[in-house]
Amino acid sequence: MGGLYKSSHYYINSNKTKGVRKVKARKKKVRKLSLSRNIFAFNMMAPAILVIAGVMGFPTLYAFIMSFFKWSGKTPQFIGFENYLKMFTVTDIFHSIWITILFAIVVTILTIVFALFIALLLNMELKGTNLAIALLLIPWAIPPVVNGVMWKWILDARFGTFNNVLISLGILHNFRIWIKEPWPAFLIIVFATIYKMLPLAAFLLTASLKTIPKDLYEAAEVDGMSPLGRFFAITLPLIRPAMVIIFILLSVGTFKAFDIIFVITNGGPGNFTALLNYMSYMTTFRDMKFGLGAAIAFFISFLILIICIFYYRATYREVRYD
Amino acid sequence: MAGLLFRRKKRLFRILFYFLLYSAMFVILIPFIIMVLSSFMSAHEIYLNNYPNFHIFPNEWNTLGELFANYRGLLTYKERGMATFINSLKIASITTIIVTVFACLAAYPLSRTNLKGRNTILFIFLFASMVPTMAILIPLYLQFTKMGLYDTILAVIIVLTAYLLPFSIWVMKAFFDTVPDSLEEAALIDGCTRPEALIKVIIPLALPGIGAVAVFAFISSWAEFLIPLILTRTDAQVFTMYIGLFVNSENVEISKVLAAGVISCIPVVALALGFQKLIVRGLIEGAVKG
Repeated sequence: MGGLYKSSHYYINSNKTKGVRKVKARKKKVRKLSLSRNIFAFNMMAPAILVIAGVMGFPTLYAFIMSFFKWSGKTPQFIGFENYLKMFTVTDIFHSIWITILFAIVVTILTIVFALFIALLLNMELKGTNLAIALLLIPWAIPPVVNGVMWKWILDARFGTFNNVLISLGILHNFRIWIKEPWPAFLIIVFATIYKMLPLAAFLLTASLKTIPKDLYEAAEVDGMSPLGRFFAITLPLIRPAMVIIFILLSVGTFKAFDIIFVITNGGPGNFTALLNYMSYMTTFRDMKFGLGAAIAFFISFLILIICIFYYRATYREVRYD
Repeated sequence: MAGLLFRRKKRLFRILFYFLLYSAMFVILIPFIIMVLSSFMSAHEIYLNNYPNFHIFPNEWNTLGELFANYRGLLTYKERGMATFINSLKIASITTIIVTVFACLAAYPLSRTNLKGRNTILFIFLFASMVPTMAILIPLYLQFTKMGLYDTILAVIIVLTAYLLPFSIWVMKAFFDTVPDSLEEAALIDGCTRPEALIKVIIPLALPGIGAVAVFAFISSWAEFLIPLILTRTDAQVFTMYIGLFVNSENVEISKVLAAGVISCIPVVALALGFQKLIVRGLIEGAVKG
């Protein structure tokens, strides 16, 4: 809470003994002051709000209206919900939707599992934890495009490390072009995305683990609980709030995945790895169907919103061990 | 005896955990290491790099000049690489300054006053991260073309600023909240005006938070791909876009692309490692308290 809020209250309370009239006068003064404070506050927020409203608010509205128009000719034609309906018939959107959802689920589960594993190790107060955190920051800092380039090179059919190592080990007998095969291409995108998301998830979980009071574990140990039992009874419930945040971050991240697909697979083979956001990009900027592209983009936002509300409802229960 | 055995078991576990931690870090770094090593290979070497002559370490290192041939080629005769690098640098640094200043200004009242609708404003900022980027880039593209801002650095800076501000404000507010009220009140009693109190008391104390926001803003705007891809074409092209289009073009020498990739990692990885503690704290404050 803000300092002024507290201090003004204090002011009023301290004057209580000096009679009601004085208090009323004070209150009036405080209200006047707080009005000028509000103007002051708005002045300070004005630049940020102006930029955000101008660049995000207004265009969102514009794009939303646009999604009800047909933009092929010079003059836009109002067609109502047709773009939203056409979305489900013209493009192979159903494949895109289900592959996006599959992508989101696989990335989320694997990221959480790996991140939890790393966070538990980081939380053990081993020597060199700081070094490990520093190393973990590297994949976070690599630009997504470069991340894509990196994986594309490693999985390159003839000269990439992955194929050559597999052949050297005798697992593979001839070179395979992974990005030209549907499921391997999908998995490449999954791993590249996990690589990028893992550090943040691990940091959040580590921070969350640090907030768990140690005496809870001691009490459980005295009660004869096994380490695994302690993990499920204490650790998991108490890191739930951090989990919700990671779920939300990952959902937004996976549903908006673009850079990595653009670099590694270009949506191919066919449209197999064209996730929703990439589909929206292709519809808008390759096929120049602005209205339809906007409709898909809003559909993505709608899905993200639903998922966030779902996570919030399903997992956000306050856990107390008093 | 039992105690000794227990201790030995515990020690064994500890060694196992050390092993697990460091092998996890090693696995995480392998792709990056491969990229860095491959970026030093010549085209000739890359095309020989095929089973059974396969190798990871570049082994045609004769002179130092040859070693950096890819990098030199990128920064000298391929002028586009250099130009886009400078564009990226300009965009990232200007955006960082604007975002930091605006976020500072906006976070102060959100943290320090009993402004009505404060929580509403914060929530609107949160929802801004769910706005469909692809959809808003279409009207922005049309508008910027009309205004003659298409393919300029300014267009990218404006959009990036708006894009990064909500999260920055959240992080900054969380840091401002950690400065005790009493210090500011003391300054006000001593006759400071509010702006003075902000500059003389809050900002110096919240400096780590401001640093965290600045580093984030730089790293994010340096890495941004989609916004410049749509709002620029040639003059204002940025480095990530150059790499992204470079790698998908025909007949490209992959080692040069990798060299470009390594170059683009240098500033951000250096920043991330230099401000390690700040960044980790900032990530956590921004996401958990926000």
